Amino acid sequence: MIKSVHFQNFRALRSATLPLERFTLLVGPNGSGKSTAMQAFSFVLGRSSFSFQEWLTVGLERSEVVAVRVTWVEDGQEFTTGGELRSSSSFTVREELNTDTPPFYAGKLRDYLSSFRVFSFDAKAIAAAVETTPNPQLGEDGSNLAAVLDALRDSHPERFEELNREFNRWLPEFDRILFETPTKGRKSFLVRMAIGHHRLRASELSQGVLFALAFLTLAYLPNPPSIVCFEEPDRGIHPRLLMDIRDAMYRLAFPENYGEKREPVQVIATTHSPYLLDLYKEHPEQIVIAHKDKQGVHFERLSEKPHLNEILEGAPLGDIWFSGILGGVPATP
Amino acid sequence: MKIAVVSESPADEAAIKILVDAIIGHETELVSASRLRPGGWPQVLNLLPSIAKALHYHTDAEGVAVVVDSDSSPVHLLDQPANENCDSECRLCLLRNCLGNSLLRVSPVPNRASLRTAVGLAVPSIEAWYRCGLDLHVNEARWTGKLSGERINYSKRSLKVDVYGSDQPSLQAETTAAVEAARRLAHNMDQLSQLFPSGFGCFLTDIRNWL
Ligand SMILES: [Zn+2]
Repeated sequence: MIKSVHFQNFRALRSATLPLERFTLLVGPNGSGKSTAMQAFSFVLGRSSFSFQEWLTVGLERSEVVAVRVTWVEDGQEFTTGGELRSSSSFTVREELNTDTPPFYAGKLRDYLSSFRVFSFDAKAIAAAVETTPNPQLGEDGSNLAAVLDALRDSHPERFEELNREFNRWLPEFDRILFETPTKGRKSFLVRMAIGHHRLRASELSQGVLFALAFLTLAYLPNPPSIVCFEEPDRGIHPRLLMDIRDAMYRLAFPENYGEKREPVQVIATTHSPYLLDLYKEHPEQIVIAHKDKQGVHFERLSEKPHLNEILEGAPLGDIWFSGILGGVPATP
Repeated sequence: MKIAVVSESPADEAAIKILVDAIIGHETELVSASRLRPGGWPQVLNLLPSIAKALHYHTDAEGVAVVVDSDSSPVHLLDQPANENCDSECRLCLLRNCLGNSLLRVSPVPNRASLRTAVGLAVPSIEAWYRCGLDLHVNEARWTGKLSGERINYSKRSLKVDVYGSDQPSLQAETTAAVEAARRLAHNMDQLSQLFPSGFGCFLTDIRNWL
């Protein structure tokens, strides 16, 4: 599990440490560095194409260094790895910072970080008919869902049945996911109405239903990615489903609580919605607030705020955060 | 001096700070401005204890200024015995007591004086203050008459239209008009406290007591 990510001169993150739990809700207004922070892992893996100048915090001298350090805990041991960019006259020098990590763990951490996905669903992409390929993966925009569901039904029918039951619990108007083959080698999915068994094509479903189905599918995969981020998971979701979305994310992060035997997924959800935040009042250790001030962006774990219980007493957490007194004041709506 | 402002709309924050500066006689520094999720009055009262405690523990604000609209609640009665609500529905009394009780219970923070408070009640809404000096018919006495059944020639909605040119202004238009009005009122505090002796008068007295 990744314990923290430290940023140095990394765009808006001049000097900031993002603490992470198995599940972390990262709260902050737009432009508070949430998305920038989520680029850390591809930076560490050396997969980002940006140059030194594009990463360096605006206004800094070229003599500065851009660096990201990831602290990772595995088998009870702590390892730090990272990447660093510096400018040498006309070209960028990239260095890896994992000198103290034994090769076995360095490789494991690379695999862990490589599996990272940032999901930001798109209704059209989710509903699209797709080519069937072996071992399909869900795209970051939710694309390929039909193929992923179809593969789940074939290889893990019991999981697929459980997913159908949960889908019906979330949205009682529907009782089953079905498939069709619009043209040879392509798949799309449909849902069946509970009453009358009328079928609706994926393209006829609302955005909220499609997003819910994408969340649910990820939560029921036998081998989900090791670490995922959901950007604005409440976007397009009906408020009555927010608690179910939270539980789908918890199912990924805390499989043991849901009778799952697979490895936990480390989940990061980013939001600027007070409504989602209301669901986490009992877990301030899972909430990190992104603040932006003159010195740049800082991350602060809510549970580390002094006198927190006294302050939270009696009012919804979302209201309290929205009021701005916990920091990370939301931009004017 | 460092202050915090709590109001029902972010558009009013800057305007209220201008009024506070005018009363104090020099420019203050805004350390915290609280925004409220749309939800109106009950939310202000629910949230105020949390806001007061967070200001006490997490900021170096020296004073907090709270201004809310009275809507259809009663106008505060002056000359009340201390610690007694003039009316169970009076928002000014409710806010004063709520702030007082919350701050009584906080534990001391080294090198921090206790937070000073000021509560204003805009009757029936802050747009009435913004109209002061432009329309003498808009005042607390008139609105008190309306609450007891008299016919008057303005409403919360018509005040909005008069101030912003629309009853659903954009936030930017609202902020611009609010700031412009506050700058004008800053030179005319006497008239504002004459026409709004209770809701603004109490606010003025509270802030003068900070000095
Ligand atoms: Zn009163």
